[in-house]
Amino acid sequence: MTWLPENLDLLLRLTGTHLFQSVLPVVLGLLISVPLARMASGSRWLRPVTINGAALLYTIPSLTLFVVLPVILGTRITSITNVIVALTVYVIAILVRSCTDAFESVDPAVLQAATAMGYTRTQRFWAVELPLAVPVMLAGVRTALVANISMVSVGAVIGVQSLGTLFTDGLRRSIAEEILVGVVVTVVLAVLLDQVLRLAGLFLTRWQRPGRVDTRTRLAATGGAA
Amino acid sequence: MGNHAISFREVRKTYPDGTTAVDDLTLDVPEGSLTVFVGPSGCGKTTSLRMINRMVEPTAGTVEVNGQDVSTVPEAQLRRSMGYVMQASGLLPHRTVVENISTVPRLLGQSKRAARERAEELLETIGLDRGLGGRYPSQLSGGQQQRVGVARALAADPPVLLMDEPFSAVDPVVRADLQRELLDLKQRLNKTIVFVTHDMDEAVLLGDRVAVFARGGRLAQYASPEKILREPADQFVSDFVGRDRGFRALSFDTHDIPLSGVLTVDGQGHTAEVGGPAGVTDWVLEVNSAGQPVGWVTSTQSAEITDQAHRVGGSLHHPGGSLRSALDAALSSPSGLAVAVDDDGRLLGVLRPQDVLEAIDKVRESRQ
Repeated sequence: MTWLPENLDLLLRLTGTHLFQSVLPVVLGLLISVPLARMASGSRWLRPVTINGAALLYTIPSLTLFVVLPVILGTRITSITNVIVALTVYVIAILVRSCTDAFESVDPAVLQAATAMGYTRTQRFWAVELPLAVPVMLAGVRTALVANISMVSVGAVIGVQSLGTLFTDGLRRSIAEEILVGVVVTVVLAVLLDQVLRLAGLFLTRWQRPGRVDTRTRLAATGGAA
Repeated sequence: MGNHAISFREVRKTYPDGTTAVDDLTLDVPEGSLTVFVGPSGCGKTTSLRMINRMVEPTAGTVEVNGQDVSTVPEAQLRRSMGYVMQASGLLPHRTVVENISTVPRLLGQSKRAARERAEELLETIGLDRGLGGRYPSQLSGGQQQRVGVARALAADPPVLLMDEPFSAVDPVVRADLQRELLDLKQRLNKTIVFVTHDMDEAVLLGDRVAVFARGGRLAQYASPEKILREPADQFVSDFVGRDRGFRALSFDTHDIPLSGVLTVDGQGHTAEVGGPAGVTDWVLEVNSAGQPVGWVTSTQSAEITDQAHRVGGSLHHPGGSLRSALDAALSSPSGLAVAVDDDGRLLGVLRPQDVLEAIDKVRESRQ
C-alpha cells in the first residue's frame, strides 16, 4: 500500500474533474430535455419524433462519439469539452423519455383546476406542472447520473483525465493498487451522488407521503416565530 | 334579484368532428340565485358552465357576466374573478390546505400573510379545523377535500361561483352534509352560483332555478324546480325527472295534518299516551328519558324490552315540514304510523297514513 499515500493529491484532483464531467452534462441535459419533453408530451407528432430520436442517440457507442466530436466541434481530441458534450447527448437520450413520461403523469384534473383558478400558462408550468413532474423525472435523473459516473472513465482511453485515468495508468504501469483505488472511488462516488439525489427527491416530494404532517408549514401556519 | 349576473345569447358549441355540444343556448341567470344545470352525460351542461369562464370558447353567440362580454376579458383575469369548484376537488397535491385556499388571492397579488389569514378564516367558514391547514390534500378525506375546494373558490370573495359536479365523488352521507352547507353558505354570502349535476334530486334540493339539458346540447326546460316536477315541458324532461316526480313534487307542499295519539313505553317499562288517546294497534313506541323516539316494539314484546326487541323507526316528520316528509315517515315506519317530533327531537304524536293522504288530496284540490 504505497501508491495511495503518495498520490492523494492526484486522486483528489481526478475525483474533482470526474465529478465535474459527470454532473455538468446532467445539468445541461436537463435544461435541454425539460422544454423538449414538455413540448412533446401530449403532442401527436412531436412525441414520437423526440422519443424515437432520443432512443436512437443512445445507440451511438460512446468511444465513437469521443473520437468524432473533436472533428465536429473543432476541439482537441483530449479536450474535456468532448466528454461533456458526449455525455450531455446520452443524458438527453435518457431524460427526454423520462421527462415526457413525467409531464404526462400529472393528473389532467389538477391542471384543469389550475387553469380554472386563473394561472397563466407560464405560471402553471412553474408552479404546478414542474413540481408535480419531479417524482417521475427524478428517476431518470438518477439513472443518467449513475450512468455518467461510469461513462466518464471511458474518456481516459482517449486521454481525457478522470478517475478512469487511474485505470489506464495502473494497467500500463502494472500498479494493481492504483486500479483498485480507481474502481472503489468511482463506485463510492456513484453511490454517494445517487443518495444525494434520493434525499433531494424526498425533500421535493414531501407532499407525496401522506400520514406525516409537515411540521414546518404547520409552524408557519400558526405564525410560530420560534 | 332582477339583474342578470350571467347571460347566454344564442350560444353554440360545435367541435371540428361535427358534434354539437351546445345548441343555440339562450338563458339568463339571475343575480344572487343558485341555478342548476342538470341533464344526462353529453348534454352540454358542463360545456356551458365552462364557457362562462372561457375554459371553453363558444363557436357562436356571446356569454355575458354582469353585462360584459367575457370574450373581451383576458382569460386569466376572468377566471380569477370567479370561484370554480370541480369534481374530486382538483386541489394542488403539492400544496398544503392553506396554500391551496390562498391560490387565487396570491395570483391577484395579495401578500402571503394576508392570503394566509383569509385562508384560515375560511377554514372555519366551511367547518374545518384550523389545524388541518398545514396538511396536504392526500391527508384529507374526500369530504374534507371537497370543503377545501369550496373554500378555495371563495377565497377571493368572487361574486360568481361555478360548481362542476362538485359533490358527485363523495358518499351519500357526506354529500347530504355538503349540500346542506352549500345552502347555508348561499344564505350567508349572497353569491350567484351556477351548479352542474346529473342528479335530479340534487338539482331540486339546491336550485332556485333548474335548467334541464337534453342530449345534443338543447335546453329542454328552464324553470323553478317545482314547475319542472309538476309541469315537465316535454317527454324528455318528464322521462329525465323520473317516475318518482309525483312523490318528489310533494316536497313543495305543506298542510296541517292532525296528530293522533300513540302508546309509548320508556326504558323502565312505564307506559304513557302521547298526542291523545292511542288508537287500536299492536305497536308501541319506545322513547328515551328525554321523550325522544327510539324505535317501535309490538305490545307483546313491551313487557320485557331488550335492545334487540325494538324495530328501528322510519324517518321522522317535523310538523310544518313538507307532505313528502310526512308520507315518507309513514311509509318507512314499521307500524305504518309517521312519527312526528319537535325541533328538539321530542315525540309529539303520530300521523295516520289516511290523514297524510287526505292532506295530499286537499292540497291538490286547492291548486285546481
